[in-house]
Amino acid sequence: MSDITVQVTSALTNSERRVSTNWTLKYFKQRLETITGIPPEDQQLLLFINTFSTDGKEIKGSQGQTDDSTTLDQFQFQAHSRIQVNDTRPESELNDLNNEEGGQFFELKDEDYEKRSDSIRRWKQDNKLGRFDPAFEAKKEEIRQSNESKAKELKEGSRFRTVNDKDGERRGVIRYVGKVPEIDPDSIWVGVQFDEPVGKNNGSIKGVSYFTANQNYGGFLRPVQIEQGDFPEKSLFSDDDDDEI
Amino acid sequence: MSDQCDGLQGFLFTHSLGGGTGSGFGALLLEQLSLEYGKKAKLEFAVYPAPQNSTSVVEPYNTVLTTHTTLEHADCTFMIDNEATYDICRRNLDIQRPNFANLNNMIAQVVSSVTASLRFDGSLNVDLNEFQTNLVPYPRIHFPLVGYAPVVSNSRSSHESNSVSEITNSCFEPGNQMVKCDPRVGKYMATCLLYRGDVVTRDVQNAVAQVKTKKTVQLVDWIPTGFKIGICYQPPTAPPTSDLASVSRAVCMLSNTTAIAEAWRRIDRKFDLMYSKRAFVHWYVGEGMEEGEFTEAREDLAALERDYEEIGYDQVEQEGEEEY
Repeated sequence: MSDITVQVTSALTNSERRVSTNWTLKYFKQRLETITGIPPEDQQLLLFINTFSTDGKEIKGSQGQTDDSTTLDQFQFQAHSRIQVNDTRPESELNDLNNEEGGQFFELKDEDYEKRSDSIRRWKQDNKLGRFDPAFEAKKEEIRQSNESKAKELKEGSRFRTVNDKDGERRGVIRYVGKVPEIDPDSIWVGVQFDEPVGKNNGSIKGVSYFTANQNYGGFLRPVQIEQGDFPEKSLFSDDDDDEI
Repeated sequence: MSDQCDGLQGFLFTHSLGGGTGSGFGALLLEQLSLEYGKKAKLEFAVYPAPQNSTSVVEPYNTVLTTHTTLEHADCTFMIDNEATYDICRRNLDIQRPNFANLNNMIAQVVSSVTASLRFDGSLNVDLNEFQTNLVPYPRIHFPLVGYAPVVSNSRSSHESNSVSEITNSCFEPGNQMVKCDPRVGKYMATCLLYRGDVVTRDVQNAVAQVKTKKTVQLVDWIPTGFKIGICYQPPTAPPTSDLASVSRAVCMLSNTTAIAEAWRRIDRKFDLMYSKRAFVHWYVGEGMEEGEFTEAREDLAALERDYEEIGYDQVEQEGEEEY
């Protein structure tokens, strides 16, 4: 009748469990083995009466009693008592179970992934989706070309404003036009210095400096995101509407 | 009992993956149901191992094994991890030390939202089959992330207005999601938003339009992606023991996002650490399993990780979406 919810903790685990006070200590320890991984004979159980207790009382059969003849109702379990399970083995295998050092991680070879009949890659291939779509490369090429032709118009030192910007229009000076291998090997990027701290860096990317700006005043954008022209710095007191006049 | 139903729609499973609460038997049951009721929807609410907090030492094994077995049988598996849900309870409900009862209350609200449409009237109904149709582009990729809003305690509820647009935005925040992962770095394949209570279509349309403009909500662009909306007039009920305040409207978000792959990666690595030392494998072998089943399951999960990567590839860049 008396099931109690307790917290079971060990070096590697922490879980809420329901225990019955008419269980024998032997049975309880068997159950704890599957939770904590510690064999019954190596378990030391400490009972912390409530969540605030700091000193644990050891749970063990009294003198002359075996785990088999001891039932849990001899101990003062309460709802939300905590039971700490310690491993008494000095050289426990559990000690470095979670040690990432020297761990061997499974890696699926590309050719093995390729062989699977129910993979996403196979699905894409069969249905000509994504890069397997004949139109995919053409579309990419189109975007690449519009970026490249746009880049030719852009001059370092010119003023600009951003177009189609989800953050709202931003203005600044073009500081760099060209490839940025730190982002990707092929495309043309525009390094810009914003008038306000609305960028992502200071003109450096992955430790390579393309120009210098104060932190968060610099950024790298696609050429098509840039409109070059006489867009002066917005004054603090004007709002967007004034610029339209 | 299911044979006596005249309009059996499907099955809802609630279980955990970590072991002791339905990872083994649940898998067996699901397999069996799949044989007997092949076409019926089988949805799972699965408690997934939390990143920091293991409930048992062999959790990684159980999770990998059960996921491998059920991968082809479940149609849609909504993922919930205890740690993320504990955090929601602590942060939003001011419960210092949440226990399973608090967690179950939260999960029950989500399950209730999913089935609300079957039980009550609404302007946009969503039945069980539609979750799979709308959320799962390819059968293997069926693990949506769950979010819920508003999660407010009674003491706070009077200070918050919780408009449709507010609750919609907040269920896209990582802090209101029930698996620890970062959807801002993933790509969305599909999203279901299940509203209930005092909600009109117009407000929902506006809220969804707003979400779509967010930089943090990136959609996969080589398959059709969409927002499926459900509206049910019945507001959520806060049972007497619940920590949640009763509110006039709520939303449950179910998102199929590649961000969830982070959770698989995490558990797969834990599996490897243990398996490379063959720790506890004898427990399973003693029960009649073979080591080959471990490697087969692990390989399947590695393929699942790759599948998610494949989903994320092949974006044709869109104007203004990239900036460094």
